[in-house]
Amino acid sequence: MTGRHQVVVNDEEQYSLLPIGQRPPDGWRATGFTGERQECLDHIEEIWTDMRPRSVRLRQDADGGAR
Amino acid sequence: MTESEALSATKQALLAQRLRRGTAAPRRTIPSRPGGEQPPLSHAQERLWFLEQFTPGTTQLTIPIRLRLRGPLDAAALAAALDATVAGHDALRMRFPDTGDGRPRVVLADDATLPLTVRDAPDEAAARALAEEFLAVPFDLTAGPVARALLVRLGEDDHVLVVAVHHIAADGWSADVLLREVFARYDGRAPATPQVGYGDYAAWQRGLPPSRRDLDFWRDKLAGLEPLDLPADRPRPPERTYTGAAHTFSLDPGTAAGLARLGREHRATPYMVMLSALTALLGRYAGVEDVAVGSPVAGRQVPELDGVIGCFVNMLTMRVDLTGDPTFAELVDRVRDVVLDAFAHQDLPFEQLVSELDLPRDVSRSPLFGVLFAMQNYRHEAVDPPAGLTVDDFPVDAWATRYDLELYVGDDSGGMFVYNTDLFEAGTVERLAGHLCALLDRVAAEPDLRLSRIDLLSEEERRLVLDGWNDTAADYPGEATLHGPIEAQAARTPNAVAVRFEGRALTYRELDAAADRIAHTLRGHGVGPGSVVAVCAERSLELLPGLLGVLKAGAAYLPVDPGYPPDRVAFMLADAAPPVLLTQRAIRPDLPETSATVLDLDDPDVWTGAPGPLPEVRPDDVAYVIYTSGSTGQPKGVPNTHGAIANRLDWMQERYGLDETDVVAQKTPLSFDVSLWELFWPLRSGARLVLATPGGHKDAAYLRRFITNEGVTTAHFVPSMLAVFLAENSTDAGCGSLRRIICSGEELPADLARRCVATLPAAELHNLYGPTEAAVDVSAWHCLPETLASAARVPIGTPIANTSLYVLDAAMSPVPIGEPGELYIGGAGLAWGYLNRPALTAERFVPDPYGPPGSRLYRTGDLVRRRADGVLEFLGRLDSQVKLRGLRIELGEIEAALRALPAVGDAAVIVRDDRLVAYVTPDGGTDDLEQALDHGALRAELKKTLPDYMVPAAYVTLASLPLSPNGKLDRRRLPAPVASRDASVEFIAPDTPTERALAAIWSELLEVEGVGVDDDFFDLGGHSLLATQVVARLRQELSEVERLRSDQRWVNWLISQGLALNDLEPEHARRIVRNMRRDSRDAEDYYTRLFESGTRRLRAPVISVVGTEDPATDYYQERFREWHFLTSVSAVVVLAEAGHFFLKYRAQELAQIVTTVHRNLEKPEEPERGGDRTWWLHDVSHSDTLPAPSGVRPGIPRFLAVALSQLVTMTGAALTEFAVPLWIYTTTGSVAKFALMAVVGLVPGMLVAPIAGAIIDRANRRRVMMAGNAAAFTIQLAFGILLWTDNLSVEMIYPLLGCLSIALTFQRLAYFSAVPQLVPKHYLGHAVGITQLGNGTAQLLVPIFAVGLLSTIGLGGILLLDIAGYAIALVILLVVRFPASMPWRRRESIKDEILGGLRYSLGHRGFIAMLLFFVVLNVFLAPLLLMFSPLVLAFSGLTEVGRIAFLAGAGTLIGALIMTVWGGPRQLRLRGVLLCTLVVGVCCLLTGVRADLFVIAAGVCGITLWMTVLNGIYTTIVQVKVPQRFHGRVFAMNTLIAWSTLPIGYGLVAPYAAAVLDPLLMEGGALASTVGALIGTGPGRGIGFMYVLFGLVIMAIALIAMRVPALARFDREVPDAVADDLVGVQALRSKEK
Repeated sequence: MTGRHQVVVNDEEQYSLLPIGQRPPDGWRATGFTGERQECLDHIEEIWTDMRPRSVRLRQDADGGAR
Repeated sequence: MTESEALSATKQALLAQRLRRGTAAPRRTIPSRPGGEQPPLSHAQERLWFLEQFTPGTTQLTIPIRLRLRGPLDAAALAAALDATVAGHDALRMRFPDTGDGRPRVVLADDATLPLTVRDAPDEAAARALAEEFLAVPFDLTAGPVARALLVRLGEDDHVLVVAVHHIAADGWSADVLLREVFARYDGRAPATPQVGYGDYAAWQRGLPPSRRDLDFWRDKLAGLEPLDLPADRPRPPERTYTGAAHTFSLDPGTAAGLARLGREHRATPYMVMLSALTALLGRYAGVEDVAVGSPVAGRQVPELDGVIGCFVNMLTMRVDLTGDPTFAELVDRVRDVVLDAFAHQDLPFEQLVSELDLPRDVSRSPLFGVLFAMQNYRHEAVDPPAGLTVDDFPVDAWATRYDLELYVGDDSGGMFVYNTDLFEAGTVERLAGHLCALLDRVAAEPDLRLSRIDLLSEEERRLVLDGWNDTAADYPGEATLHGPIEAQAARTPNAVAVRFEGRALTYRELDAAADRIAHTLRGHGVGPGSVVAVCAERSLELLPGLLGVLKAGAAYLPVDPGYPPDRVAFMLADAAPPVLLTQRAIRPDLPETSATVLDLDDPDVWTGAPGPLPEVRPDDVAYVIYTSGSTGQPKGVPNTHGAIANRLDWMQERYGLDETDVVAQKTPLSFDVSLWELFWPLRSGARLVLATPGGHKDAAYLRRFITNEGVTTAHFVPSMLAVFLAENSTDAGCGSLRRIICSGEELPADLARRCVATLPAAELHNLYGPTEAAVDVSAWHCLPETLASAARVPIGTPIANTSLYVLDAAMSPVPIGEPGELYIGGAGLAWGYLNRPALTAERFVPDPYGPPGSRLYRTGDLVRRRADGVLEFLGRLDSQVKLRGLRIELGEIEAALRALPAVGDAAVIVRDDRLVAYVTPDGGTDDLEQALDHGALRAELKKTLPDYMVPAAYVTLASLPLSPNGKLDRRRLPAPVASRDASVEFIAPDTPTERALAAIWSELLEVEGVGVDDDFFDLGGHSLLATQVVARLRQELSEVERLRSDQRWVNWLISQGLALNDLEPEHARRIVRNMRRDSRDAEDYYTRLFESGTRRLRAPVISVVGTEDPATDYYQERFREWHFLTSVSAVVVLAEAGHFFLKYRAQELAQIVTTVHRNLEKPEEPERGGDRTWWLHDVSHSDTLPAPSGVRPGIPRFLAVALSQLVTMTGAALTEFAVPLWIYTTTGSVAKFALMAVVGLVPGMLVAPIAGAIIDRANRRRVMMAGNAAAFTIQLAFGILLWTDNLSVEMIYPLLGCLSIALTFQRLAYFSAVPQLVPKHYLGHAVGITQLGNGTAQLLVPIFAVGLLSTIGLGGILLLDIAGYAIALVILLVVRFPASMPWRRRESIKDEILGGLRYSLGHRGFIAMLLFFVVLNVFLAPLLLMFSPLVLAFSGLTEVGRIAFLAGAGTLIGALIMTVWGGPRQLRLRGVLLCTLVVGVCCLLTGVRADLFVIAAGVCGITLWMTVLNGIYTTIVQVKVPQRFHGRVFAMNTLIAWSTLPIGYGLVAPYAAAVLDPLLMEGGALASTVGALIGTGPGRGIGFMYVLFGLVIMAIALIAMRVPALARFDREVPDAVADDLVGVQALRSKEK
């Protein structure tokens, strides 16, 4: 489970990773970041700051934001 | 060419030589045995012989040869050929008789035959049947022969030949040799006789030492090899079985060609290519990367053995490493090396290897490998049939197999699987063969395919596993929120009971309203959608409104287990950062510092938020966050949405259909997601929820009661708890209300499931599966008895609604049916991920290639496989996560916690025998491993950060952790922990029967030798479920030894304490009393022994809690210090107005005391009874030893000295008191004077008692005793002087006797009060007993002494004795100093006692009536007690008076014994008193009827006997009907009343009645002719008549009393005592007001 990986994201802005060269399934796209598995995970740890699905985030923020 | 390839080429050459010759060693020769010597068994023979002994009577070791011979056949010639062949081969002439010592021996016959049976068969089927029947007959190795043959004649030119040879005499190669020779001889040719016989070979082989080189090679090669666990269809039988079946398959010719090409390219034989394919497939099936397969080699090490028949075959273990996901071509290379290496070391007999390796004994499987693979390229081709005959195979259906699975492959056309039918089903092996063919197809075409990428699925299979079995779409109506349907239910059935807890309940309306209040308040604290609210509370009625309130406010709840270590709680609170934490008052003090607003659920004043609109909650809002164990050393939070849990609950309702008649048990801790459905499913469905008491989920006996009492229909069990629960219920089905049992949380063992459906047939059993990351459960299986019957494991079933389950390989491709893979979950139940863990979330929640666009799959890390019917089976974990007793544990988290400790270098944690075992290496290394790490300290450190269930039970220190060749932890080489006691705990052997029984149970359950008294159950490896087993065993084993003593006095005492024992079944009441008696005795013995022998001291303080009104804890003010023998800090807390049972009635205060006092031991408060405190810390004492009191110490010698002196003086005084009235009577003959004297001796003392009590309470007891003694001495002296100087007149006696009675009162009261001062307090009970015994003895013996002494030494002598006695007593008191400890103190003054008692008794007319009865009775009874001396003296002497007095005393003693044994009546006690009165009346009458010593003796004895019984019953009345704290008052008052009539009886009634009646019955008196005729006339008969009259009066009183309503209904109307502690509570309340 080592080797080059790519960071992928779906429409709800949920992140994951796939081995490089594997086409992301429908509804997922590569973010462009690639690296060793751990590098990808570290990258995700950094950029995925709000873990709410996008639709929930938009709705809750519109309703007055999360506390 | 690399070096390794070069090496391989060398080996290749080696192989070529081997295959030709079977050996590469320098040419060896096998010498002939010396003539006449019997050969030994070869290694192989010996092993086969043992196998035969192990399972005799089977045909597993029979080699079957089955041939169809077409053409003309001469049976006689065939028989001759067979016999001739036998003559040429040793092995066929061997038999193996018993030797008596269990070892085999060979007898080689000079001539033997191979018997041929000839049969006829009409057709092929009959021939087959005959052949199978023939082969089914086992061999008798003892008698021989070891081979036999059957010829079935189908026609003139058509025969079937069956030869059966025992493996001990042949092998596959030999079968061909045999046939070849037989056919040659049949043809008339004589084949060359082998130069060596098998016996020579055996002798030679046994003479060879095992090759060190071979041994080292194999030992190294096979290190750490684990048995291959192919997923079987049926449970593995505990012992090996041999029933097999076969499945043949054929290979596509194109594939065969491709494989041949592959072999050529990689210089590999077909055997190597096929072995590669087989191990690759087995690796995938078993989910391992280390596969060993056994293969036979011919084992004929020298050329001259080629023609020998016998067992030469050797087994080689081909261990193939599949790690690193190699391509198939790479694997072939690896396998080639493995095979060549193995062949190079093939000479070591398998049997020798197995014994040298010292493998763990496992009789359920063959050693080293379970799968056999053989290339069968030597059969039949080389066998030429005799002239004129053709030979074909004649297969039969019977197959024996010594392995789980055997694969035989011919050259390239296909092969055959033989499988053990006790493990596999035909369909499974058929699928396996199909997958092998698919694998061979794929790799033949594409050898560079990585193993993980070899697709074994057919299109149809792929469609089925991806879509067909995941067709779960379902549409549920209504709101997809957790609480919405509950609100709807509350609107539908507002008044139905929603939840019950310990007798209290909430209706749906109340629940909803309470939740609303909480929601509104939470809104006021800023809680809303997106917030998390932590809930840290025990199961309680407040809990549920709290959870619902959080949900209504739009927030998610985060359960925090109150039992978690503070560090873990602090971490969770910091990680989830809830703005609000809901808790309970009792828990709040233990919570760590938090920035959250902390609100108490059980404080109604908090929940006053203003009503307002509540936010709309959406299905994708988070409903709850549950933390699970994490491999990184920290737990992780999982947020689950309303939609996910609503889907799960909707499915559950649709599947199991709960309705309003259902009752669902809630017993799972909230931190475990099963609690979600337990809590909310019933409330959404209108059913009733019942909450188990906190901690109750671990107590099987409690659960059983709980389920039965609450009528629970639906309950969840973790399988390990189900096992305990069923064990508890094994003897009695019970729990009949259960309709469904839901299991989840860990693997449900098949036998447990079978036991469950058998024990509780009315309850459905469902096995559910799911991780926290997917809303509780994702699959379910209904366990039906018929499907369980033969199941190896209980399936986890099929997906629930709107859920997809995929079994995927490492590349996320679906694995074939039956093959294990990782379970992935998709669909509605998925959580958001891990709270604040983006990387971890990205790793575990991955893109779903098979679901809707953008969807994710959760990677469970669970290994599962599909059955052919699509049902999933759980096989284990892929990572180091385990489930232990239903709790998910990441071993990595424990390892991380261990490594974080400074002393620990490295750590590994595994599960062994259902408990966690930690392996640790010391940091920095050390010479002495034993001393390196303190395991107790490690455990203590871990307990600070990990929940108890994650703290390992056993620890092993290693110099380093064992690693496998590829650098991974080699778990197989981790040694088993030596279960032992902690050496730092001093061993104290169990002593009492209870301790010994407990220690025996512990050491059995924990498998630890020698359990000591101080050992910690959990430190020895115990866990909560084992603890419940201990309790269950104790219940069985500790039976009470019955005692003569009646339970009734305990029953009475319990009733006086407010226990409604009469409402209980007698059996229950008896059990309570037994327990109490046993417990008190055991506790007393235990602590006394500890106190005497000393023990290791506790580090914890001992805090005694006492009630002010509890006589059992008198002297607590100083006695609490005695606990210093156990601890250096001892404290005492006092509960105002509490009695003995404050545990029950003052639980709340007690809880406060238990939870708070230990923190505030530094500052004891002033003991103050006033104020509003209901309890206070009375005193704290710090001392490292038992404090020695200043001055003299209490001691038994001291006490005995004083007690003896007091006994002597009191006996003396009693003598005087008895003798003086008698002296008066004998001197004056006046009954009046005699009676008056008795009054004078009694009344002054009685009157002065209250004052004496008050004085003694305030004064030095020793001085009071001395004063009393001195006064008595002086008075006696005065008596004596007056007597001796003849100045003693009656008038003088009265004041002296009066003064004596006063002096004696002081003396007696002071003495009783001083006893506790003199005696070490733990002997107090015995001391009081001695005191009472002394008094009793005095009462009994005095009359005899008195009368005897009076007649011998006279009154003067008696007085002299008394004076001497008193003088000695005075000296003793002067010499013996009294310890300055606390003496006994009256709770209230005698006056208060009497008045208080009067007040109490006058409160009920029943009591008034009873008192009046006694008053009247005593008027008539008292004189009779006095008058028997005059009665006897009237016709007899002093001696007789003494005898009668003795019998009166004996009557008293017998009465007391009766009461001790009987305990008095259970009900209708006053009726008992009245009946006793009646009998006393009869006895009185009897006493008077005749002037006969015997009659009087019987009467008097009866009177005292029945009076004692009467008094005893009366005592029980007071005990039962009066609260304990009033007993003293009521007794005191009644004594006063009883004694108040004594003077009347003695002083007035006795003399006047005697004076009036005596003349009437003198000779010629008025009644002489009438009454006198009946009872006699003469002196004293008047007194006799008085006895008769008063007897009648007493009987009348009794009879009348029975008619008086207040007395007749007394037993029913007067209520039993209110619990003493309730009286105390009442007193406290009135004080408050």
